[in-house]
This record gives sequence, structure tokens and C-alpha cells, in this order.
Amino acid sequence: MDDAKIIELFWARNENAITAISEKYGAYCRIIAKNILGNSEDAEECVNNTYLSAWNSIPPNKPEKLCAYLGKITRNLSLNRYKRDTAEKRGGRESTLIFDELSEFISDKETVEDEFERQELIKIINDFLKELSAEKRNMFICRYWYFDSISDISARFKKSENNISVILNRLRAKLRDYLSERGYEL
Amino acid sequence: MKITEFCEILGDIDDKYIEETKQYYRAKKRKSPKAEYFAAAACIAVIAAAGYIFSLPYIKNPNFNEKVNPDDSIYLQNDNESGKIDDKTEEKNSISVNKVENIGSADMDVKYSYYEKIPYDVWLMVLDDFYNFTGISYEDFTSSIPASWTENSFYSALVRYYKENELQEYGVHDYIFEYQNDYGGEARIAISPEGKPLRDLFIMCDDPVLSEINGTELIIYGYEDMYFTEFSYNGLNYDIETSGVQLEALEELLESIIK
Repeated sequence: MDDAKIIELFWARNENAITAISEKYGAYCRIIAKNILGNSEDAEECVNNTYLSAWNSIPPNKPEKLCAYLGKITRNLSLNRYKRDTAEKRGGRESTLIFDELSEFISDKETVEDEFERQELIKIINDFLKELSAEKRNMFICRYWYFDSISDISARFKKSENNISVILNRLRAKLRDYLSERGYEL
Repeated sequence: MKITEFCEILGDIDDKYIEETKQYYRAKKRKSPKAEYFAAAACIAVIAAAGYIFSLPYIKNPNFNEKVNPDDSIYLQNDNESGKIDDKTEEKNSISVNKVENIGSADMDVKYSYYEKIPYDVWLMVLDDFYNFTGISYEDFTSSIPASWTENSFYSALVRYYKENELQEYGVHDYIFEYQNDYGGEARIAISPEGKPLRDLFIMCDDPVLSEINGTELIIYGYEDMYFTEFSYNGLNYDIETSGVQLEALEELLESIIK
């Protein structure tokens, strides 16, 4: 079923919409949740919550890219779950490694309260991604958006893990400088 | 900023990038045994056909060798096209790729200064600085690069120098150009008159074999789909890193710089 038809079902409050997104995007959402949370049970719960959240938010929303819309919900729910679990000292997942990598240029102290500043940062990161080659952009997003492991990225891009680590290391440094040049010392 | 907060902000990037990357997440469909049988048969047929083709006499000409794979340490003699004797074109290139098994990241105290979206008067100053530092103009350098390469980025690498035992402010060490070619390959060209350009990775290779382009000696390392080339030419030190680029395209790029 195409996305426009699925969104029509949501707007008609037809519960088949849930079955449709589950069939079409269930596996995709499950990968994102599992990458962040590291276990299938918690991931499944987040995926189910994604369906519920989609049901509650469409309408009023009418996402142009349903896949990315659902992916973002899953990612946010999984990150919230991760934060809660970390507070309860349940660690040892890929996301912990990724947070370690990001800690190289993020202080982990202050918070961005200002919505304007937040939107500005998103814009700068989009500009940064736009300037990268497609392959490097995809590697960066695989790691820091989808929370993929280095070994999975290595298999997807047919490069050694060592090479992927070097490329990601450079991309992090490049993003740090890119943000710094624009006045963002994170 | 909190790291989780940064991840949340990253989560709101443009949907088109998320969709673009999604292609890597397509579920692998399991092939039926019948399909696997046909795939195997097709492979055997291709191998047999390739065996026949490579047994043909004209393929045994060494100039016919594919010059792509950096996994093999190869030695290529590239004769000029026409075969006519011409003093200017008589010179031959020899390219030897030193295969590298592993590379490692190196942490450096380096800052990068990007020359993008800067006011025109500042850009003129950047051009002056570039000329004063390298001895060549930005236009001369960029116009020498083959048209199949598009400049993606131009920036400088800055390091802190010691002067009279005191650590100074950051100063330019290298100018760096990043290019992409029509086939998705990338090249990063770093230039410095101050010694070897900075490199943020280790390459382990004892006694590398030298290559030669238009009479200039250089060292080329190969690692996966990457080449690392270092040489000095006209008082400048070059470090060129390519990825996803065939050796022929690298050679063409090098010839455009080393005249």
C-alpha cells in the first residue's frame, strides 16, 4: 500500500492504518529501536508505542515522508527509553559507544533551552550534511541517526571496520569545526 | 550541551537524508534454492567466459591490464597514446602502488578554517594569503585540475608553532582542497611549503616503492579503495588522498599537477 493511501486511512480513523504501517515499516522501526536499546523486548515496546504515537498525531499531521516520520518517532521514543534505562544503570549497548564518540566534542553540561537556537543548530547540521559526499553522509547518518554498529556499517559500505572508524572520526572532527566556525562550542 | 540532547537535535535533520540512508536498511530477501542454483550457474558461465577472453593474445599486452585495484602491488608502464616519438611526450610515468594492510587514526592539535560563505573582501584576502603561502595563485591551481573534478571544499589546517620557546597562536600549515569526480570518487589535496602536509592517520609501510610522474618521484599507498600519494613539486609538498577513484583517474589528476 502506498504512503498516501496509508495516511488517508489514518485521517479516516481506520485502524487498518496501523496494520499497514506495521507491515510496511515495522522491520525498519524495529532496527532503529534495537540499535539504540540493544534488546528485542524493549525495542518491540518502542515500535508499538510508535504506532500509537502515529495514530495520535496523524491527523493533525500529514507527513510527506511517512517512513522518516515513523523513524523519527521510533528514534525519539527509544532515546527517551535509553535515558530512563541509563538512569537505572542499564547500559552496555551500541548507543553507549556512540555517546562516548560524541562526548569528544560535546561537553554534556549545559542544555539548549532556546527553541530558536535549537532550530538554528538543526539548520547548520543540515548544511553540514549537504556538503558531504553522499557516501559519507550516509555513513554519518547510519552511525548517529540509526545508531548502527561499526561492523554493520562496514558490511553495508563494503569497507573495513578500521576504515569506517577513521572516516567517522574525521566526520566528527569536521562537524565540530563546522559548528565551532558558526559560533557553536558544544 | 547534553549528548542525548544533541542526539535529539540530530534526530530532526531533513527527512530526505533519512530516506536517502534508508536504502541501506532494505530487508534482504531470501533467495529460493532454485534462484541460488541459477545464480551459481551464471557465475560459472561468467568465469568460463572471462577465462576464454583473457586467453586471447591481445589481452596479454601488459598495457591492457586493469589499473584499478590497490590490493595488488602493481607496476605500470604507461606509454603515450600515439607511439610517435616526441620530445615532450616521450617521458613515461611509472606507478607502483604500495599495498597497506591497515591504517590508524592520529589525534592532532589542528584547527580547520573553512572558506565558505565569506564576504568578498575577506575572500580576496584569503586568495592573497594562499598566493603568499604557496607561491601559486588559487586560479592557476584550481584551473589545472581536470574538468571531471568538482571542488567541494577549500580550507586550511592551522597548527600552533613554537617561536623563541613560546607557543604561538594557530597559523596555517596546509591548504586543503576537496574534490569529487563525476563518478562519485573523492580527492583531498593538501599543499604545504612547510614540510609534509598534516595527515590524521598512520600508514605503516617499510621501504615503499617509488613511482614517477613526468620525472617527479612520488610514493603511492593503496588501502581498500583509497590511494594516498605524497610528493614534492616546485617547492611545495603535496599529500593527495583519494577514495573510490580508479588508478587511471589518479594518474590523470597527478599529471595535471605535476607538469
